[in-house]
Amino acid sequence: MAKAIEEYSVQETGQKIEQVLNENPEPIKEMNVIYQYDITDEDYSFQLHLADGTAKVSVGSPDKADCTIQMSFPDFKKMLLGKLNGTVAFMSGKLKIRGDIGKAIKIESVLRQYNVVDHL
Amino acid sequence: MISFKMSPHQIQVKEVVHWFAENEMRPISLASDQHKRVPDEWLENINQLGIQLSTSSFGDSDSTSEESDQTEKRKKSERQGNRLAVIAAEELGWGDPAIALTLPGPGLGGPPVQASGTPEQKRRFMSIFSRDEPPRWGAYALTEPEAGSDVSGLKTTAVKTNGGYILNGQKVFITNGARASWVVVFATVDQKSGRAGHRAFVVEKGTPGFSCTRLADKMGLRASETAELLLEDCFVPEENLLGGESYYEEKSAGHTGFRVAMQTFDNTRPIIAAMATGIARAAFEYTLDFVQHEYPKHGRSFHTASTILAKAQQEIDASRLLTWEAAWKADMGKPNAKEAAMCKSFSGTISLGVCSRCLEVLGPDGVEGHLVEKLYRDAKIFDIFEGTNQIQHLIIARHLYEPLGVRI
Repeated sequence: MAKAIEEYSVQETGQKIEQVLNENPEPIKEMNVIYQYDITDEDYSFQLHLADGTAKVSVGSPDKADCTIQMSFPDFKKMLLGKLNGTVAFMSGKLKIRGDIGKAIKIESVLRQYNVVDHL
Repeated sequence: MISFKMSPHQIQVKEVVHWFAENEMRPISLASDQHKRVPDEWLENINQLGIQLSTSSFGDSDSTSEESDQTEKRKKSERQGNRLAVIAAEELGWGDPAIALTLPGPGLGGPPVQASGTPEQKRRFMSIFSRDEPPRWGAYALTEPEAGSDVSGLKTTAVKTNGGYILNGQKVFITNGARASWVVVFATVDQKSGRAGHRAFVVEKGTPGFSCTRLADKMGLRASETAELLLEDCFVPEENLLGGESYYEEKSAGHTGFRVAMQTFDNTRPIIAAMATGIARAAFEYTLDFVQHEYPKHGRSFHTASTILAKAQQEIDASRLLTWEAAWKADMGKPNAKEAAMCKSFSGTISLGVCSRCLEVLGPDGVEGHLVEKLYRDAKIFDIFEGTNQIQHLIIARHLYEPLGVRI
């Protein structure tokens, strides 16, 4: 039995996302985009590079992101578990978006296709 | 003391809703008007994104889980819910007002359930709106063939029976009335007692004796569904009386169905006003661009068009500020009926005027199958529904002069 998501560090969560997306790249096949996640309460950023049907996570902000999503680590985990609706999070100010808004909406619906609970 | 500066969060909401209006609503706007229907597939996609029309979408945290420990936070964030709602509504009106009114969610039925429902009723009726399920709607049924502005003339009756009430009557001009999973229906338990006899019931779709008899074919907001509903010996269980029977028994609290109906308007009129402002802005922006590109840069026609546009901008800005004030008062917990009536009547009037003058500036280009032509048709209803302008002015007069002892 793997660790529960509550015990994951922000680094491990990023690696897990990379692994899960690459195991089943179908939903990201057509995507060519760089997302940056700023985890506000941990003062930590990572980028999710989606290109040619593969996902790569890198620490910090090495490249220019198309879209930056800012939120706290607990809220980020809740969103991955489907306990927090991205739209609600946004409207209540828990989530901030910079850059391409269409891409931000897209990544939420893509991540929702992965049953993250099974993997975390 | 006075600040017109939007907070970073308000700016974000405006930007994101505008993005949605421009990229999701506008592309289907004219076709939806033509077909008199918003495509089902579009509504399903939107619902999956979690986008709903609900006055409680703003400042609400996780709606299902962690209710208790979020209460404190919710109180705090709800204080700007009305302002966020009018900021978003202006952008949705800019995108397409008919589609905006068709977005899944409780719609106008939400406020009475939220304001007067028991905790059990709120849970039961509000929990059905989920992105993980097919899109659903709520609706609000007050208007009747013989009672619109004069709400005290309600003819729909509710007769107490074993375990509930038997409803009989007709409702007209009910937005999303046919597709709604439930409709808040206002009826009277005693016609002689006027407003005190009014009650609000939640009537669920499929209830025997409850049917939609006709969809109105309208001048504007064609893509929005406007239903006529019929209640024939329709049994509604006691647990669907909003607030429960005890809510109305405490006479001292002044709870009546009429109050339930009117409180809804204090929350929704600024939203309707903001949509009307958005319609005017859409017509204005299109026409401004047209004049910049299609008109010669000098001469009398350019001069005339410029002054028409300047006046339009002035009216749009004034209507926005009136609307923001009404929403701000609601957020502060201050009575806002007067301001809600002012912004609603003002913005409905200027929206129609701005669209009309924009059509004149566009000339032959704007006449046929054109966005501004559609906006002009859509705008007219905004000075009628949610209380006509005449009613708004009566409300304003009462609030202004009754404290001085003048009975109106």
